[in-house]
Amino acid sequence: MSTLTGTITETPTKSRKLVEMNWDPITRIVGSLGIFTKIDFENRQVAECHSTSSIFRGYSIFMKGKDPRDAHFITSRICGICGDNHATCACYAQNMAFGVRPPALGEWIVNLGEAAEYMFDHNIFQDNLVGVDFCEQMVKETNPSVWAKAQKTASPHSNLHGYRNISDIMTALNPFTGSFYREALVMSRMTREMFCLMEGRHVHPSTLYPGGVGTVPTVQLFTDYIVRLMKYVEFMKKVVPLHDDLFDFFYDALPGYEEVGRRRILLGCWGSFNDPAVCDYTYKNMNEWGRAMYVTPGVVVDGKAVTHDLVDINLNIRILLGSSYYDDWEHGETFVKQDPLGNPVDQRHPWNQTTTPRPQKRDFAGKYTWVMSPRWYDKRTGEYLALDTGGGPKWAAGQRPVSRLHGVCLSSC
Amino acid sequence: MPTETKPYGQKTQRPSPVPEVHIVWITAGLGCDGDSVSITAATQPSIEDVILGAIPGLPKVYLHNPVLAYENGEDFLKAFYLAEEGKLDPFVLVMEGSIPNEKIKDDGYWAAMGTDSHTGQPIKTTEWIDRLAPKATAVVAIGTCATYGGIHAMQGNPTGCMGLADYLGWDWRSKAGLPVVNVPGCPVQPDNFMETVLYLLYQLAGLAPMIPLDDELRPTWLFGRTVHEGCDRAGYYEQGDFTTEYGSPKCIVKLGCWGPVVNCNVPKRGWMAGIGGCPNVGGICIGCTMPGFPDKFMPFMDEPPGAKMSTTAVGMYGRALTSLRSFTKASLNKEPKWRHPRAELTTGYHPRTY
Repeated sequence: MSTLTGTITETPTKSRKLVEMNWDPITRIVGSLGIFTKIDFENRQVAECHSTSSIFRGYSIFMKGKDPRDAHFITSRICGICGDNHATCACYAQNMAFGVRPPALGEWIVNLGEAAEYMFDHNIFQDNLVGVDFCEQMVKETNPSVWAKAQKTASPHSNLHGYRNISDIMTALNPFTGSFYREALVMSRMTREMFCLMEGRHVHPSTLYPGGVGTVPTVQLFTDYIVRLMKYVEFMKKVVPLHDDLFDFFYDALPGYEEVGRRRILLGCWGSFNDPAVCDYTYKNMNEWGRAMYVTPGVVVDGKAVTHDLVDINLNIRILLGSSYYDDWEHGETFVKQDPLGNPVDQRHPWNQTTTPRPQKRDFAGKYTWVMSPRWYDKRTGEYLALDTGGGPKWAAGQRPVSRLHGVCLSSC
Repeated sequence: MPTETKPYGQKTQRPSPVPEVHIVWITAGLGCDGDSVSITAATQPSIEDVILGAIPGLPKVYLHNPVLAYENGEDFLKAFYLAEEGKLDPFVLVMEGSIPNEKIKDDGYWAAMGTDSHTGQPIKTTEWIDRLAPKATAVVAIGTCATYGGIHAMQGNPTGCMGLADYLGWDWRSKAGLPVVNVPGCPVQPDNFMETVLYLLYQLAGLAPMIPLDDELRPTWLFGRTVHEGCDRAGYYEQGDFTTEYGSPKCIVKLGCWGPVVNCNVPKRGWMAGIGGCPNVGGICIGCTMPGFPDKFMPFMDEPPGAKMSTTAVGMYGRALTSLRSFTKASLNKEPKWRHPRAELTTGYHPRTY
């Protein structure tokens, strides 16, 4: 097949007055991100933008030839926030490869561990990662008029979260000194305790195995989990109205803010939380157990659901080279020609990937990053779509979290 | 900070002779930032305890860590440039992630942070180490990647990466005479690292002697004992009671646990707040704190070769011990015979008044 892997160059913009603005490194993210832009302030437009990741590690190279049972211990180390997700996926893959079905209780413990991980991932936005973007210090520095307005604006839900004015929320978000920042830190520790109950350690679990878990399922284990869970639920009853107040205020105070992150609605999800009553880890039944997942798989293109079929979602994943420092594997070895159902597997599918790094100078007109470009091939239109796997453009306030997660998931493996 | 909000410790104790210390933290090694994330789970002490000065006698601490920073881009790097110029003194350099070998290729970079304003090219992580290490009062390697190379330095890796002491030299000393301080773990156990930082801050304040380190440059009080010595399943080992099933509370050496020969305190200390861990909660010890990690422990899920012999040897002794203990246990599970509802006192006391 043919694939567009060449670099798309921007049209020269002689007539425009472009100001170069770069941020390298972008902090409060995992994945060594740098953003390089040229901004047309007269027309209020970002004319050019390049994002780079400046680290290469080589997982797909050094895992070759190793015992497949070691896979989840190794892939966990890809990410220091959500290592567990990589470990869980690697265990799912091993279950399928070895033809093993974990006992139901093992599956539930994995699900409870994952659930705690998602709570942690959500919560980390409020302290370490994103909350700081909306804190007093930041708003004062970048938008003094917005700060002045926040001081005069009462929080509509102050009865639920306790912060009288919007400015009080912002002060509470100040790193380390803010009361909400510190409360979120404490709560993030509790989600990690929940995680450690089920999977031993955070961020790299110790009790996950293909075929189940080593966790000892006692009454105490589940008691210790649920008392923490209910504390987190209570905390969320405060957090949700607090977010509503804060972001509604920004929409009001900064007209156009709702446009932040607006783009084509392209979403992808391969499901989460298997139902042990249905999931037998066979490829043949993958669509059936995929639909039985508690978070169902699916691809959404331009706001419409295109497929919920796990086989379809999987087979159309493509790894393109984009502007990354690797040699092409178009003519390299084909490891898998057909899936177990006889469907053809593309040469650019990750199953056929051969990673060959070629370190070189950074060139924004050529190659400039260690990150490849994972895409989903829409066979109806022939497009290679960059699916959002962490949220959606409609939730503009969530734009920062979503893009930050991308840094995590696309970091150069 | 206004006086009334100052934590108790800071306002009641004598001030530190070193008023301020900066912690300059590079996460741009080959790693996952998991150590930075891990330390936010610490409570003994917590990161906010250290930054807000809740612990007496400490200098005021300024943290420059990319995962936790308020600033972005050049604003964030300002502290790094000042440190390089010797204008951020004293500072502790923390290195996270393994150090790639940039000498094995002609062009480009394996790992970098920030952009060189003259060349427009990324500034290599090794270049940052070269610039900052000579100026640092102390240098700490956090996590197994930075200490010994770790996962990314596995056999067959393309980057030739290594630990910080491999890069700087094992006999390297900071300008204050300190060797590299290694706090391994994949990721680092949260309290282990924060406690090491606390110790170094005390040392800088003149309140603690030279940090005690072993040959692998680990703090001795944290890594002096093995996983097994602190494991609550070690009793099963002694009794020769080994499980071959996952999910059992018994000793998991036969499932691939390396606990008896790994220097680590996690089963004793738990992962956080005493919760979690590895073999104590059913996870085989894969030796993630060790210089030989991961290759010398792979395949992780096979029984360690040495364990075959030792478990056979301990098996006979353990079975005999268990059967003797079962008699004693049966006796101890019965109450003494004088506890009864009959109308007589048989405790050995002879009453004269009733």
